[in-house]
Amino acid sequence: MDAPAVLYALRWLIHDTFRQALNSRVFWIMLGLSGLCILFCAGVSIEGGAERDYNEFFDPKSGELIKPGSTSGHVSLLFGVFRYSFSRHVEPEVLFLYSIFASWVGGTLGILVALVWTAGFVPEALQPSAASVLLAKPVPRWLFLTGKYLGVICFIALHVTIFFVGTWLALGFSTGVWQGEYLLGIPLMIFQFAAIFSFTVLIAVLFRSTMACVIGGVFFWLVCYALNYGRHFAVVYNELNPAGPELSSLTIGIADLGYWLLPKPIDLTILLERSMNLADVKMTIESQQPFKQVLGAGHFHPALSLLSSCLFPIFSLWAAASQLAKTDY
Amino acid sequence: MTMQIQPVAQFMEVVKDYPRGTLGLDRLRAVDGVSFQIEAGEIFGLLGPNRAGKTTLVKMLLALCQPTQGKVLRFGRPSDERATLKRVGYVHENQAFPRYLTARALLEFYGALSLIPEETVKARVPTLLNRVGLADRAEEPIARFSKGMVQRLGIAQALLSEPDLLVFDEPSEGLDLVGREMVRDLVQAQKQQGKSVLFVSHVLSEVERFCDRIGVIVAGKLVHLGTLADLLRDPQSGALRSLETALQGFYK
Repeated sequence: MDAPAVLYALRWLIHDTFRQALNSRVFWIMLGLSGLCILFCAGVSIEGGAERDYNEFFDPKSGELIKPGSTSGHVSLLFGVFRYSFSRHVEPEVLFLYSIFASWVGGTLGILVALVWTAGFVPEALQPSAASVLLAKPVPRWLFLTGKYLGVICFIALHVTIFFVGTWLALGFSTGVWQGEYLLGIPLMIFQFAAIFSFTVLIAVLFRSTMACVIGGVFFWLVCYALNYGRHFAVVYNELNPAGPELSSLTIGIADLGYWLLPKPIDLTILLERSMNLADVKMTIESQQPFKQVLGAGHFHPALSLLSSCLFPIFSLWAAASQLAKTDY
Repeated sequence: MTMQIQPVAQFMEVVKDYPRGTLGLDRLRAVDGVSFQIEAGEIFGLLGPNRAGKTTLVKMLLALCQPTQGKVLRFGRPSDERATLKRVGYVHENQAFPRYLTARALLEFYGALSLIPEETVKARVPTLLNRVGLADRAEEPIARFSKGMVQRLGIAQALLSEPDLLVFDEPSEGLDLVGREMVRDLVQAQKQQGKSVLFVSHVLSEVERFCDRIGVIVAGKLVHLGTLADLLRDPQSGALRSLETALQGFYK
């Protein structure tokens, strides 16, 4: 097949998968979830807030530290249903909300929801009753699989874009704080999903079962997450616990190997948080141990982390295509 | 100088084993040393009881599965060379088309996967939908179609590439009388154009009506290959017999 023919068939396969997704309830469920998040962001409002000078934290007369509860502003959530006070400038408070949506709602919950709801797309297409006529067409099987994979990625890309742009606009308009780097979450989350979903495609080819794909996809994400955490923990463990028992170099080596071979969901979130300049914000991943130590000790290599994460989906899709090529229908 | 016409399909000592058992170590032989060919312009009928290996032969011809031993050629080329699939139309016995597509969208999609240029597909779709009696349902989702309508749509998608070989695997499944007449007309039109048909069917009257040659396969082995007249003549007495009687002898 020549390149124009490949592109022609690929375009139609992506288009069809996208159309399949738009016609399923998955589209509406994911749109609904994004809508709820956007509504939440639109319901945030901020009153007051001021950057305090160092001296302002001390009583000018007595010189004692001002008692807790001395506030400079209030944050209202859900259109005023919940309120809490803060004692600093507005920006870190809003960035905290941005970080929650980027790291936890989008980067963690969103990826899991997307993995579960899209798990059925490929195995359904590979059922003998559905695939027999399609696989008897001149288009090679690897192209068929690649088209389905890219179609799902396009579908998720649409939702990730709706989520990030929607929450960014809503938070920006409701608080007046615009964090443009937050939108870097779009390519990073699409990339994370693409890496993990390639494993779901391999499971789909092996078992042709939606349930196997749901369990396999989520389990694989958990394994990647655990190995990502485990590796960072392992490389700084001996520095963090100088008095405790040493972690053997074999354990560190195994954790390191797994880390470099598999996708790295935590690293992607750290990359996003770093680009958003969240140094003053609480509850970010990069502010927690062992990540703080890893970043400080120079054990985190963003470019290599991204590059090695790219290799996994390539290998996974190649394995899936090879398996499909020799599968009897 | 005479030009040799290539057979459209050749099965050469073909064996197909399927793995069985928990570990897949056991083997089930579905096709056992089958050899025959389908000539250009020929209507070839493949008959046999259930689980005889007919569909496995069709699948090997369409590269849906690979032979364990032997060779399958399509238009003189190995069956795993997919380019020649462009010259084949396939009607599956139980077609499951995406229910979210309309009849027109399905034909456009399948046309693209057959690597037919987009403009050609767009031009052929209305003609084909008209030919299979679905012109008035072109924009309706397949989810609303009856089994017979899905089968008609399956025939339309098989004709998209104007194939040199049309493979019908139980084409009359779910079709009403008008639909069966349509299949008959299609087979005859195909023959008139010098094109071939591989016809797999349980409906003996259809096979009697259409086929130039017949292959009978039982338990994976080809037990008869010849013209319909050969099959209908009793080898001992020479008297004519019904197709049903002739087949009973093989099936026993």
